[in-house]
Amino acid sequence: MVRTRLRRALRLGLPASLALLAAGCSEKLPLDTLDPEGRAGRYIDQLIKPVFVVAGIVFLFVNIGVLYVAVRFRRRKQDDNIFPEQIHGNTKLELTWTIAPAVILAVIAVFTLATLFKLTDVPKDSAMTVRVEGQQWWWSFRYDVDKNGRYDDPVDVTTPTEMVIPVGKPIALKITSNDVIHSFWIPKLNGKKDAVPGRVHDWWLEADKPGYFLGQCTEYCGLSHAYMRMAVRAVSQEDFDKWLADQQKPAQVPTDAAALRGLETFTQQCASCHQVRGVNTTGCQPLATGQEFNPNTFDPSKDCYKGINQGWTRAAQVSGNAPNLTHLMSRERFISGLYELHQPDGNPNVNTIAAWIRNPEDFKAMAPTPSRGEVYGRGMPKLPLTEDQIHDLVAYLTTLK
Amino acid sequence: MALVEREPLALPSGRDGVAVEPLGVLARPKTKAGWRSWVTTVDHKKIGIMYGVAAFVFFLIGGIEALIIRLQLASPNGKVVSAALYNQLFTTHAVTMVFLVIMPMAAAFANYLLPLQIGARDVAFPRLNALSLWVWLFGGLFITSSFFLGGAPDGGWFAYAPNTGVAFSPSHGMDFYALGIIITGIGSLVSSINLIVTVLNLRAPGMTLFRMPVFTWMALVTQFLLLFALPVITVAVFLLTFDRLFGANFFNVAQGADPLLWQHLFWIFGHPEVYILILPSFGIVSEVIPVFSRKPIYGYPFMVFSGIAIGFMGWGVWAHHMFASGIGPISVAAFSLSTMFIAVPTGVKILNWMATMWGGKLRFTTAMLFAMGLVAMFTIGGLSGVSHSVSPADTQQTDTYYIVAHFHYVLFGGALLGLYSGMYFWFPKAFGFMLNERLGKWHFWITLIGFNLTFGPMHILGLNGMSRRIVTYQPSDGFTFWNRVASIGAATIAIGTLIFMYNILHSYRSWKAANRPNVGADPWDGRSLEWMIPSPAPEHNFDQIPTVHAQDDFWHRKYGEDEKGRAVRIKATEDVTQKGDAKGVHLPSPSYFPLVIAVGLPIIAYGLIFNRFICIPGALVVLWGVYGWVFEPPDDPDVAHDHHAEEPHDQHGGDGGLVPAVPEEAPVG
Repeated sequence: MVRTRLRRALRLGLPASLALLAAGCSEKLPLDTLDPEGRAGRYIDQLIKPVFVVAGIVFLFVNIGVLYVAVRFRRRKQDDNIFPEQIHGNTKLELTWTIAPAVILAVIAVFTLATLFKLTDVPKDSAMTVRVEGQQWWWSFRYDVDKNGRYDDPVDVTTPTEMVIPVGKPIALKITSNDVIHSFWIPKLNGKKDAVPGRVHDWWLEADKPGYFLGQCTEYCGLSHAYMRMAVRAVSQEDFDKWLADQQKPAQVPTDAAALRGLETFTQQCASCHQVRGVNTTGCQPLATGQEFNPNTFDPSKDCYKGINQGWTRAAQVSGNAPNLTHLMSRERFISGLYELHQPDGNPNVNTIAAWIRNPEDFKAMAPTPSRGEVYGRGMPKLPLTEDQIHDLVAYLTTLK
Repeated sequence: MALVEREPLALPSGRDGVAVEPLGVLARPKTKAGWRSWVTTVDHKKIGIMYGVAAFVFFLIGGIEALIIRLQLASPNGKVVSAALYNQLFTTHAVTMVFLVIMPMAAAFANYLLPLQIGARDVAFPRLNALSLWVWLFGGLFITSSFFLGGAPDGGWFAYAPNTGVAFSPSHGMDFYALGIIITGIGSLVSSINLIVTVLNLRAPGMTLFRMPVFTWMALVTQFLLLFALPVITVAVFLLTFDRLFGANFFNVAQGADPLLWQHLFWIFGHPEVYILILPSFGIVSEVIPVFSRKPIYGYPFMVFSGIAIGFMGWGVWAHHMFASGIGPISVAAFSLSTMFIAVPTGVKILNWMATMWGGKLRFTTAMLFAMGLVAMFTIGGLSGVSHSVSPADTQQTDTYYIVAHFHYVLFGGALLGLYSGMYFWFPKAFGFMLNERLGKWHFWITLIGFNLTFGPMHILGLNGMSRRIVTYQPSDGFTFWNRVASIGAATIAIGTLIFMYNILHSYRSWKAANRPNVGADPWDGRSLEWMIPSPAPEHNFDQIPTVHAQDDFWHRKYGEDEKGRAVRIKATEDVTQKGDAKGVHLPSPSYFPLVIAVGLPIIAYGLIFNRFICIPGALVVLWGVYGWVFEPPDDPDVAHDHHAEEPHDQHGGDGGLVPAVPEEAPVG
C-alpha cells in the first residue's frame, strides 16, 4: 500500500524534480552526475532520485507549512490583548512525528545498503585491471595487460590523463596516489574514490556506449587542484584491441630533420622527467615519495631519470615522474585533460603545444621552484628554450602517434 | 534539585598569609568606565558583548574573503586572484567563519545570557571567563596575521594530511593554522568548563534543570560537545605541528603513516563541531518563537531531549565525511545508518517549532522573521544532509558544490540566521535601545534573498559536477550561469550586512536624539528571567535572586491561565520587574592577568614559527600572568562588601533558606 503510493509519487514527482534540477542546462554537461552513462553510475542514479523526491515533498511540507502558519496565525491589530490557548505539547503527536521520519529513513536505508554492496564488489567478469595513480597534478593509468598483477611488464602499457576502455565491460581499478590524497571521479560512470598514498582502493567503472567522459580530481590536492582533470575514452572492443597493440610499440625515431633536432632537445631538456619508450628507459620505476635519488643503486634498465646525466642531481619531482609521452598524439587531450591536442580537422594543435612548452604557468598553476623543506619542485618548469628549440620540440612531439 | 542545600564551607580568605601586594602583582584595577574597564573586566555581560563585537569584525573579514572568492568564480577562467591566493582565501574563509565567527558569536550569547537565564550574578569563574575571551581573540588575530607574514594557511580548514606537510605546503600558513587552533581551542575549552560549572551549580533557587530555558539547555549541550571535541582536534594539530616544525613522522607516508589517521581525528572533532555551531541557534529560536507566538514552546521535554540526542549521536557520524576515502563498506554502511537517524531528532525540532507557532498570535518582528527563516532554510540543509547519508550517492556529491550548498544552508541558513534573530531579540537587553524594525526587515529580506541566490544554485552546480575548492572552471563545463547568479547573491548578502551595520548606527543615533528613552525591562513581553531586570542589564544582574516556580517563570509572574487554558494577565509588567538599584552587591573584581596570559600565547607561537628565541619572552609573559593571577589579592580591599551577608532573594513562594546560588567568596577563577 505504502509502496504503491510511493511509486505513484515517484512516477509523478520524478520528471518534475528532474526538470527542476536540470533547469538552465539544456545542453549536455560533461561532468553531470544526473546523467549516468554506465552501469555503476546508473545504480547510484536510481537510488538517489527517489530520495530527492521524498526530500522535495518534505521541503514543500515544511516551507509551505511555515508560510501557512505565518498567514493564518498572524497577529492582527485587534488581537493585541488576545492570548491563544497555552498548549504545552502533545506526547502522542510528537511521538508520531518522531517515528514517521524514522520509518521513512529506514526504507531509504534498506535501498542504500543494497546499492552500497552492489557497488563495492568489483564485478568478477572485469575485462581489465588498471592501476590508477594520482600525483600533483595529473593522473596515470597502468594497464595490467598480461593479468599477472604487475603493471610494469614489457607488454603492460601506461598512459597519462586519458584512460581508454572497451565499452560494455566492467574495468577493475586499483586506485592509489604517489604524493598527497587525490580523488578519482568520472561522474557519468561512477562515484568518486579517493587515491590515498600508501593505500590501494578497489573501484570499477563501465561505459554503455563509446564516448569521452571527463573527470576531475575532487580531493583538494594543493596549488593546481582545479586543473587536475582526466578522462575516460570508451571505444569498441575492436578499437580497444588496436589501441592496446599500438600502445605496446615503442616510439618511432622520426625522419624529419626538425623532429630529429627536437628529439635531441627532448633528451637534453625533457627526458629527466618525461619518458618515451624507445628513447629513454622503457617501463621505468619512478622514485617513491620521499625516496632520494641514489646514483649507486641507479639501474638504467629499470629506473627512470636518465636526466641525471644532464646534471639534475635530484632529477625527480616530489610527485614521481611526469606523463609518459610515447603515444602523446593518440590522446585527444593534454595538460591534465584541459586542452585539445588536435584541431577539429584532425591536425595537431601545434600552437597550443608550443605555448604550453613556452610557459606552462599560463595554462595551469605550477610550483616548479623548490621552497622551504622541498627537495623538488612540483609541476612543469619553464625551461630555458629558444623559439627554434620549441618549434623543433613540437615537430618531434607531434610524431609520437 | 541540583541546589546546594548547605552552607558553603567557611574557608579562610585567600588573602590570609599573603602579602597584600606581592612583588610583580598589579593591584586590582578599579576603573569603572573607559577602555580600561573593558580590558580588565570579568563581568560576563561585558565579556559577552566583546565576544560579539570581535566575532562581527571577523565576520566582515571572512565575508570579504567570500566576496573575493565569488568574484573569482563569477566567470570561467577567472583572473581575479592566483591559485595560490585562492587556496589561502577558501581556507581562511572557513577557519574564520567557523572558529572566529559562529563559535564566538554563540559564545557571546552563552556568556551574556546563561547567568541571566538561570538567575545568577555571574559565571562560576569570572577571571577564567575573561581569559577565554582574550585567549580566543589573540588566537584569532594570530591566525589572521598570517596574511601579512608570508602567506595564510592553504591546506583547507580540514587540512588533510599529507597535503599539509612541509613538502606540499611549504609556506608558514599551516603552522599558523595549527598553532592558532591550539590557542583558540584553549579559550573555548576553558569557557566550556566555566559555563558547565555555572549552569550546574549557580542556578537560582527553584531553577531545576527542567525549568531552564531551551537556550540554556542547548548552550549547555554545546559546552559538553566542546569539552570532548576540542581535545581531539588539539591532539591532531599537535601531531601536525610536530610533523611540520620538528620533523616528526605522524603523517609521513614514506615512513609508514596512514593519512586516514588525520581524517578520523579531524572529523571526530569536526562533526560534533557542526552541532557546536548549530545548537546555540536552535536554542535562540526556541526562545524567540514562543515569545512572538504568545505560546509556550511546544513539547519542551522533546525539545530538550532531541537536543541532547543530537549531542550524543553527533559523536557517531563522523565518518560520513569519508565515504569516498576508502574506509571499507562495513564502516560506510554503519555511518550511513547513524547519519540517517540523526535526522530524526532534528526533524522533531522543526516540527515542534511549527507546532509552537500553530494556533499562536504571531508577531513578525525582525527577530521572529529570522527565527522563521531558520526553520525554513535549515530544513533545506537538513534534507540535503539526508541525501548525503545515502552513501553511494554521496560518492557523487562529496567534495562538490552540492556539499558547499548543504553546509551553507546549515551554517548560514541555520546558525547565522539564528544568531541574527538573537541579536535583534536581545539587543535592547544588552544596550538599552531597540534596533530599528523597518531597517531590520530590509536586512532580513535582502539577506534571505541573497542567501538563496548564492547557495541555492550551488545545489545545481554540484549535481552538475562542479568540484569544491577549485580556483576556476572551463567555459565548456556549463557552470557559468549559476556561478554568476551565486556571485550576484553574494553581493546581495553584502548589502544586507551593510544595512544591519547602518541599522545599529541609525538606531543608536535616533535613541540618543530622543534623549535615550528607557526601553524598559521587558520590551517583547518575554518569558525568561533576563526580562525581569532593567535594560541594559545592571552590573549585578538581579537586585534579588528570584525564586523560580515554573518553566517560563517570568511569564507566569505576569500571566495566569483561565479555564480555557488562555493566558490572562494577573500582574502589570512593572510590578514584577526589578529596578536594578540594589547597592553594595558583592561582585568579583576585575583583573589584568587574563589579558597578560593571553598576550603571551601568540608570542610563543610566533617564536615556534620564526625564531625559537622569541618563545622565551612569550613564556615569561605567560608565567608572569599565572604568577600574578595566583597571588593577586582576591578582592580590592577598598571596595566595601558585607562578608557572608545573607544574599537577598525574593520570598515569592517561601522557598527561602536555600543558599543563594551566587559566589559569595571571591570566585577562585
